Amino acid sequence: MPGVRRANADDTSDAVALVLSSAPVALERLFSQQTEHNNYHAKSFLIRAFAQKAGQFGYGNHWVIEIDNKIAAIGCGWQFEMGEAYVKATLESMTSYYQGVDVLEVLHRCQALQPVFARPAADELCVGHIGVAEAFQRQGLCSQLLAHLESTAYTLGKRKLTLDVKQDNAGAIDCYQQFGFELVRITQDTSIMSLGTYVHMCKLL
Amino acid sequence: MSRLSVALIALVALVIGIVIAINIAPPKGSEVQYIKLYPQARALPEFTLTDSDGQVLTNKNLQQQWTLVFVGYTFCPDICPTTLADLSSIYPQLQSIDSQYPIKVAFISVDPARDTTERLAEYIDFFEPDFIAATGQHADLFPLVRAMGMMYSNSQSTDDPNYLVDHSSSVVLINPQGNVIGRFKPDFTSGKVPVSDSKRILHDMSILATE
Repeated sequence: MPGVRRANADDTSDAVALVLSSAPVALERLFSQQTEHNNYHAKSFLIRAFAQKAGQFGYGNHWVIEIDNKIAAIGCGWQFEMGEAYVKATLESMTSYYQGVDVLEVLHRCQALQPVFARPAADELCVGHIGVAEAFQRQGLCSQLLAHLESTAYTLGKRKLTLDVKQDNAGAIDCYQQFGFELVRITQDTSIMSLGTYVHMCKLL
Repeated sequence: MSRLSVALIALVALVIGIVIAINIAPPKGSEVQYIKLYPQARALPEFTLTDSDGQVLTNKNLQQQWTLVFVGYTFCPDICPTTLADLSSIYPQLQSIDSQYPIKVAFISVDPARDTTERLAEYIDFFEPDFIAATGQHADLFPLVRAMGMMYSNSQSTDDPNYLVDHSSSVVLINPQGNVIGRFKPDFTSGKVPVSDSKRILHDMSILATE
């Protein structure tokens, strides 16, 4: 079985498609916007951001499984303290794509989602951007990625693995439950993005 | 008695036996469908909680009865009130199951800082006064909840008076020996608040409690 490896810049095209598939509506509503002078697309933003190493959407923060020269699965892990360089690089990825004050709307939307996607606690590793290419689904890749992130959490001395998933994403929830995640909280997005209901899941380590 | 008479009596007995078997014996296929049974029953650690009447509640209080246990907290905005309302809606039917042991429902609060005895009493009475409600110290609660196969944690600082508590939304089943035997997981397919489906609980309890 192919192993989990760190992503690199060459993975960008496949990887971004999978990251987008992990939360298509949320990422679209966060990052696609039309202003008087510019038309911004979530996909274009993510391609630029992923090609950089650092930051929330940078390749350096992602893990992938490659099969037959294709990126079959992707995921990442966030913790309470990601470091100053990470925050700076995430902001830079946004300010370099969104022109002038247009970035303020994106930042405002990110902030509006904080009650839904809460910052991980110090003892948690929060799993995100989990995507498996359609051709490789139901082959255990999601569990393989989660197992990798779980061992990362152990190494980091964390006590919980957590994640947020859309309530109607039955396939993903099924995989998470089989891996030992439990629903522990329900959150509702009340922002202008109207993303609907999410469930917060947790696995104690 | 002639051979024919003996044969006729045997035949009649056989027919009567078949009729009884079809009409009186329990129908085949009445097996539990929804509960996730643990590979083997798990003993619970010794615990001492306080119930909503201010009385001590220990392992002994969960023996000689079937107990459906749900953990949560009274300030919970969604999972707890939905689950308790659902459980109270099937409670009369649970009580009418012809079981050797009574079937009880217990709500264990994992938020002892805010869930005082008085608050617990008021809360549980709203749903069903017969439900057991109890809480205790985290030193008792945490190992008990873990042994049941569930979890809880304070995801936010308790400095904020409106803090939320993360907790499992399953309903677990304790057998008359006081051991946990399995759990009903939340149902995500309904599009509503994902809690354990009370009709499924009722279906399986009518089989488990009469075996």
